[in-house]
Amino acid sequence: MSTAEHDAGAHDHGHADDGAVHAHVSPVIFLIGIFAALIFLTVVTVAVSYVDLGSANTFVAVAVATLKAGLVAAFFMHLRYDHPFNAIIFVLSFVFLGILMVFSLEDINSRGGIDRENGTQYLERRGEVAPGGLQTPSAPAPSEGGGHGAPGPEHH
Amino acid sequence: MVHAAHSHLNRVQGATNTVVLLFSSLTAASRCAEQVGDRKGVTRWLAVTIACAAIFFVVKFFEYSAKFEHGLLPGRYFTGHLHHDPSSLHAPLTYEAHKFFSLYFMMTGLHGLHVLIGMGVLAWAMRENMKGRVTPGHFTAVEIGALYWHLVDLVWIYLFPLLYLVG
Repeated sequence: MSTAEHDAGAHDHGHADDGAVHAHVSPVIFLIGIFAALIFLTVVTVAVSYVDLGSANTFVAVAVATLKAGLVAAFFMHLRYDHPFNAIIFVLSFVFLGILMVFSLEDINSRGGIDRENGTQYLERRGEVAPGGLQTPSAPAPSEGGGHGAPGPEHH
Repeated sequence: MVHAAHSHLNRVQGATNTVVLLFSSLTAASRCAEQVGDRKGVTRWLAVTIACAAIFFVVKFFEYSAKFEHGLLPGRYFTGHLHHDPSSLHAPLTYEAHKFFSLYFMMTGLHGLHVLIGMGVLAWAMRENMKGRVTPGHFTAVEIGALYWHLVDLVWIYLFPLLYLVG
């Protein structure tokens, strides 16, 4: 790695703790290589999504995404050349992002369903009408069966 | 529950925006020119990065427009199941899809907000650079602007497969 003149103010004791801003200068051709790898992984993840692997699809998608995120963080963001403590903070922030997404998904998966006959939302566990309901359609419904668009919140 | 819903998301648009953001991350990473005093180079790279962000929003505009048109809206505003054309090749939307689109609009909307902020930060860094305040010894403005941009890219790296490919 080329520690060029940007180390000007610093002495020879490593990169990390002298308070000055340091950044690693990567040759552009190297960055283009990383970019090519990222595009390749994008193609892979799109291609895999057309193959039904069951629940393994999610695993593959997250694994490839993590690989891509690792490339961006390590080389575009220069974490590879930085103090390891910064990498720890960085990874932890993504753990918290993961927690946000997992709990959001859990929330979504435990919400009520839609009762298609009555056009209402209901709570799956108790069979009750959920608050909110559905917007009454103004567009003509594809099946012109009577009562589909009736806005009654009660179950029949 | 969302497997039928995600087939309605246009993978091509999502993939296009992925490539656009990855490329913009490459141009942002090329900011290294600042450390050897290449001021014009820095301006050029940052301008390309901001242009990519604009392209991202153009694609997003068409993506959101199509969703609005088909009633693919979050929660109680969802009317996608009424728009189904039996002759279309898509599988009919499940009646649970409104929940997926709540998550979809929340996540992509929050990310889009960050793209907007990133454009502002990069524009500020570019202005600092053009005023000659970015030197090989003092390039914090460009550095943190680019780091923020990489973060926006990183979040999209996760959002794209989870919302557009897997669901």
